[in-house]
Amino acid sequence: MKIKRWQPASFVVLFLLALLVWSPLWMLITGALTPTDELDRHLSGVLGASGELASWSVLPNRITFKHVVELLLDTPAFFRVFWNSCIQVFPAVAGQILVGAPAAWALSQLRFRGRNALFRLYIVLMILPFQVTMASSYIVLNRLDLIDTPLAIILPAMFSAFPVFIMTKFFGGIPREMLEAARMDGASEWSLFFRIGLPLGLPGVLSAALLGFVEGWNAVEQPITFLKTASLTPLSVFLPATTVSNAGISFVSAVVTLLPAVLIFLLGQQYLEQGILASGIKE
Amino acid sequence: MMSEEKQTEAKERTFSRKVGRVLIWFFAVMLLLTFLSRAASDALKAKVSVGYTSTGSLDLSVNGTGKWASGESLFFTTYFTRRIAKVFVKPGESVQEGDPLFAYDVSTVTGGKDVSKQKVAAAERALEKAKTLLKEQPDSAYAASTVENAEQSLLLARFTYEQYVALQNGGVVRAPFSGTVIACDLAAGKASVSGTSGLEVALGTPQLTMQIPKKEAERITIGDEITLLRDGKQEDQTLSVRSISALDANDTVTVIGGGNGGTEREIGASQDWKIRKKSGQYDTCVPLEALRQGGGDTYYVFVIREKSTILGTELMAVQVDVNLLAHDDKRAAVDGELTSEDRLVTACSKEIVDGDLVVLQNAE
Repeated sequence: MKIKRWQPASFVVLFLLALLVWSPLWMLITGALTPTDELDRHLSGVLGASGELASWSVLPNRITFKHVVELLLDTPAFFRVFWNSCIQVFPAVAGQILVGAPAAWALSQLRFRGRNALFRLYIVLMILPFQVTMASSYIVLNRLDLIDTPLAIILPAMFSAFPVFIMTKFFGGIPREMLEAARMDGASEWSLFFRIGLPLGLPGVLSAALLGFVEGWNAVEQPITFLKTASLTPLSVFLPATTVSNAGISFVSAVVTLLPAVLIFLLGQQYLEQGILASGIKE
Repeated sequence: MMSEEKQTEAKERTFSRKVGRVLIWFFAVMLLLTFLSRAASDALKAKVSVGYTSTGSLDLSVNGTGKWASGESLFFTTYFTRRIAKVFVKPGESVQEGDPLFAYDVSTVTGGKDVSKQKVAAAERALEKAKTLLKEQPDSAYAASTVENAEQSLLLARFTYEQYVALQNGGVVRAPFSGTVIACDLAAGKASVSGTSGLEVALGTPQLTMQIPKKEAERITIGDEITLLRDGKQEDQTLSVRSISALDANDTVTVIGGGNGGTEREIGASQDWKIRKKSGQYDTCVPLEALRQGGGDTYYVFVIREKSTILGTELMAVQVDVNLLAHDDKRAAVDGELTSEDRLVTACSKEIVDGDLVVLQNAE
């Protein structure tokens, strides 16, 4: 096997870049295991009044599990916000699939007047940032008396345009010949959707679900805007509330928050890659 | 042989299955820790009992234990130097007018000039005169003391007369007064010494002497009714406050109670008492257990307030400073930012500070 001359150099460059990408994650993990006094030393520069720079060591001088125990056994509020996140995200993702998959199938397979215009409208809605639709969403939710309820987060997410867009791309990749053959064999439109569309478009459905999960899990603006009661706060809003006095707990809670997202990503990694490719999203 | 693509697919499937299992375990552990942390948190919270504010007056009754003491006493001396045949009374005994006190030996009586009757008559005149003076000047301390002195002189003159009468009638001397014998230096078989030996007698009924701390004594006034207690129960007889002394070196005041309730009491015996008093109306009274003392003369209470937290509505103990106006055994009248709906912490399972989350001992 021939080794090209530039390969070792590119390896080093890529390794260094990878280290750079990994460093925040490493900081999270080591921070979760660092004693409070050491954290104070590292972070007092930026979080205190001195205005100096923060410092960090690759490994803590002493490893402690105090913050882990404190968060997992002595901070019931963390679990409340964790389950708040679950309650708000999982139904929203299920709803996205339930509502989005038939819509995507229709847009990709059915021929009807205004189809392209409708699809373009979906794209426009998709690219609109939350801040643009925030006021109108608030007014509608307020009229429906849903402000300050989990449904204020779930319902708008269920009717998100983004999953429809991704699934349309996947359903569009199903060979027409296959569907025609099924039609000739007497399959109804529902049969085509359930027996051919969903099994073959499963990667698209799953990638839409994964991306929907990541989006919902990290959502900050929607909870801040639509939820007022502290007991409805999700993890994404709880985390920034941590301060220098509980920096250790903050690191641990960040790691625990990260875990479901990482696990779900690993679970559907291949589908997610396909979904990202289909949507043309880079990050 | 399996193709490379199929092998990769199988590996990916195995990996996904493992990740799926880890994910399920993750959520299961989170669920378990949710219950554990909540239980631990609840166990660590102080359990509190609460009371409420009220309006009304305080029971400012004063109570304590006093001692029975003799009232004003007089020393009745023997008029004759003569052998005493018998003594009928002992110190501590109460005597009524006409009761025998002692008996002279009359075997050698030869008679004598009775001058004592004239003395009695003179004393009676002096008393009448003093009483007239008191009538004319009812507020005069001099007139009152003149009457008192005249009464004493009359009693002493009567006692002397009684002794003359006794010598003529078998020797038994009878009491011309009612009172309690405090001391007696007469003894059967021994001779009396004229003008020196005799009996000290407390006239009238015994008085209750009460030592009361300054703060409590401020609530007492002359004429207040004193309830006498025996084994915690109220007796039928009562006394009234006769005098209140000035403050002594121990910051206490001596209060003297007297009246019919003092009859048949043993001098020197202890007596439980209570003077019932009610304060004026106060707008805010708190249970005494709710009142906590800070540094010096500062006081505060813990009020239970509801707080919206991530875990829902929780109960928080909030410190509210108050000024103590007065208190009795059960309640304290205070001045502070309290309302009638405020729940005040009266007892808690552990020490709490301002802002602590608490749970109610008996959920309402």
